[in-house]
Amino acid sequence: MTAALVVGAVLAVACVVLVALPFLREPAARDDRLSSPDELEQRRLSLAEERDRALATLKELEFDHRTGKVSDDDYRRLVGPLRQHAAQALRALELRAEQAADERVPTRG
Amino acid sequence: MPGQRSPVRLIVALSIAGVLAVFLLYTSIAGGGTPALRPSQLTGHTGRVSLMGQVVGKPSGDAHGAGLRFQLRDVKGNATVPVVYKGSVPDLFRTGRDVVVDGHLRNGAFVAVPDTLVTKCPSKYSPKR
Amino acid sequence: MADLGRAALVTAFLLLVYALVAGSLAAWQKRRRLAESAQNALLAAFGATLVASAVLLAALARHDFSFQYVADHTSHELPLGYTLTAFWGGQEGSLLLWLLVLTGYSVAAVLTGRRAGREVLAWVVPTLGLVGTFFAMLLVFVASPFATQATAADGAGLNPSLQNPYMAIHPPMLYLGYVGLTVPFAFAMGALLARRTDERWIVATRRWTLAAWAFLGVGQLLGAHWAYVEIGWGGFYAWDPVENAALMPWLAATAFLHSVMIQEKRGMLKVWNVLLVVLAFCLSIFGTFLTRSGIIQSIHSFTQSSIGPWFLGFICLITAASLSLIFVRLPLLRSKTRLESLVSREATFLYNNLLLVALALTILWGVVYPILSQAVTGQAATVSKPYYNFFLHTFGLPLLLLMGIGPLVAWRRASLRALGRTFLWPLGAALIAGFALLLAGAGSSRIGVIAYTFSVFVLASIALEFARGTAARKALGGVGWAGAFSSLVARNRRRYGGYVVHASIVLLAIGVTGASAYQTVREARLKPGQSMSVAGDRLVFRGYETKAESNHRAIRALVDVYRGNDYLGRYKPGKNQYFAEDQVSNEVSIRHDWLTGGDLFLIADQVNANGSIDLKALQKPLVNLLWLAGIVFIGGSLIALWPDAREARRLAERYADGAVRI
Repeated sequence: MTAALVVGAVLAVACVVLVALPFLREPAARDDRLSSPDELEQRRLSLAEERDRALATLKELEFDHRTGKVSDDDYRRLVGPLRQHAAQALRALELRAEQAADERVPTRG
Repeated sequence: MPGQRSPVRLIVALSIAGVLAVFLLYTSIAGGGTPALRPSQLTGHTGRVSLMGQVVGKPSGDAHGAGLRFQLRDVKGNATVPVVYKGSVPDLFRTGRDVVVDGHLRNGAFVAVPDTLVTKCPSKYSPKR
Repeated sequence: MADLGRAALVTAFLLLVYALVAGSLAAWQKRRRLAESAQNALLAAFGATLVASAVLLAALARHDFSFQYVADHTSHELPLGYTLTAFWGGQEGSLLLWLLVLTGYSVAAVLTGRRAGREVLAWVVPTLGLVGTFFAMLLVFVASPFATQATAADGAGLNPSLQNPYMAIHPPMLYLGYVGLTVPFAFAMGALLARRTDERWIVATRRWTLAAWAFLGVGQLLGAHWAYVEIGWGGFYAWDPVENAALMPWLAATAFLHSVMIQEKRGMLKVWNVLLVVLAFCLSIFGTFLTRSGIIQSIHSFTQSSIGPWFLGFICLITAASLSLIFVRLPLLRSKTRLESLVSREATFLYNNLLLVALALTILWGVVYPILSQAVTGQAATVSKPYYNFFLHTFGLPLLLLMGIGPLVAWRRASLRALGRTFLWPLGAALIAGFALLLAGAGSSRIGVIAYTFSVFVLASIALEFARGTAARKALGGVGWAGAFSSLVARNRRRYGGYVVHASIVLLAIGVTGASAYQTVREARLKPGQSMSVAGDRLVFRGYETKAESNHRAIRALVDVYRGNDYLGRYKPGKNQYFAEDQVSNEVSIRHDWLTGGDLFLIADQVNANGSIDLKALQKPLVNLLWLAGIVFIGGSLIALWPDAREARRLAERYADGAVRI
């Protein structure tokens, strides 16, 4: 019986401590904001995904062509626009990154 | 190309229509399921039904011979009906167990379709025929 | 000790409520410390549930019959292994297992979930908390495993047919699957609540979904194997509501696994995907509800327990809440890409999805039909095998074919000329196989020939994929055939792991077809010395032998099997009579033919007082492919799940928090 009581007490204390831990560690936190991506970051993420998607599609097209699923004609027809699309995505991402760097300069001490 | 609707929605709509059509076709041919009845609800049904009830009295006869005969009673009630069954008998079958069996009502007795006897297990988590 | 268990559950309940309430508040108002506190509450809830589980396990181990649960499900003679696995043998224990797995998964989700983004994780926590609160609430207020009684001398024991290693491991496997579907659901809801439009939540939950789906699949196969060898009616799936309860979420999860690939590659079908993950999760809760509430007449007659209405209410709450959330966030889910061609890999994935969902919904209809017909016409009606088989064939056979077509079709738009070339070999192989089968007499079952032909097509297309890929890799130079093969698979783990899984499904299809469409069943009453034949085997009954064991009496019929002039062995189907439980169990005897993959299945249907036997014999061709399929399935899933360092690096770079590239 006493073993049960001890375990129970330890459990209760441990749970309370665990739940209160963030507040115990930083009783007066300067920055309590939950970081969430702002408009800028959301855009960058979408662009990054777009870029990865374009590159992956290109890679897949090459692979499909090499394994014969896509004929030479189809490959020639498709690869041009896809490369353009990938290049566009890369450029858009770099542009966004430059813009972001410019916008942040004033706030940095 | 802006302005062109994605065919995805069309495909989904057509598929739903297709599935419904297949479904309706099947149910119109094969019928709408087998009625699940208690002994007290049996009168008047002449087609194949699924009878559920509790085994009362002592079963007699040979399921692999002339037929196993037993009485089935409403789980919560008094109406009984005699059942004649041929085929495999589940191991859990005995007086007092709840069973389900398919068959037809013929001349006051329930003639079972062979091998359709299923016994419900008495305990909470024992799947057994 | 029972008090400790109860206290631990109450603690878990309070912690989960905190995780739900504080977590929602923190996510809504973007308060970091509160969000972390809610996360910790989930971790603590796991600890509390672990303590409660340990208490129950200890009570089982020491045969503490003052615990009502222990008394109801074990006895002194029960072997230790089954005494411990009786943990999940009953209502309350299985709910505790659900909570344990859920909180365990929540810990893992929280620890790895930062990949999805902090604000998404902030919403994942209250979602998991909501589901956990429900189960903890049931355990504390409605169905407690820690109810006590005056100590009994002995327990009721475990149904002998459950004393089987497959049945011991089947529930935890299923639960790892069922509960596992909660995590992708939580992340999907989290992403919607956090107004995220990117695919990060999909990338974060990819392996979760795959693992849960694999566990659910393996769990079902284990159940089927148990039904085959232990219940022994000659089959392995009876379309019982409880069996369907696990199949439906698995089908929905299969659809989801495929459609997220489209979303990743093309950014399409976002709404469809969220709807699918909600469907899969709701079906998994519904499945738990079906299995536990006794609302649907099933041979698993769980008593009409009080938890039924709670489950129903919870499902309605979840469905209403998720659908409203999706509706509100609909503008965010608009995608820019369109389906370009009806003949493209995206399109085949879409068809695959539609077929899977259609199959799942028709099964659902069949399962709830008794309730619906009762409500509408006042007369309950049931559907049975013919209904399910019809739709299995109508939707399953095209699905089988699609498994072979999909990999051969290119993304975006496949030209028919290219298709013709890639299809040539598999099509040829299938046609040859079809003719060969017809010549061999397989025409007795039209569905069977179709299924086999489609299977050959799919296997040929999979083999071709591996061959072409290896050749292409080798052509790049630097490696031999073996090196090219392993490099190919290693660099495309999901694709080739997926192909292996497809192969396992084909093996499953072949096994199921052989064992059902081409089986032979014979029954006869035999006196000692008499014989019967089934599909070319002659069975001679030699009499009975009886043996008394520790807890049962074993009656065995001695059957000698001959094929032509060859003696194949003596097999002993029979029955066991258990003293304590006062039950008889069917003990079948199975002869595996390793060459053909078939089984000779012997059932002692009726032991007669005059020394004769009613023997039932089934010849089931290719049935062992089912179990082989399970092993291949596990292998394929492992390949697809295997961590890929290169991919991980790429994703880390993509999602680096706040990184700005200059």
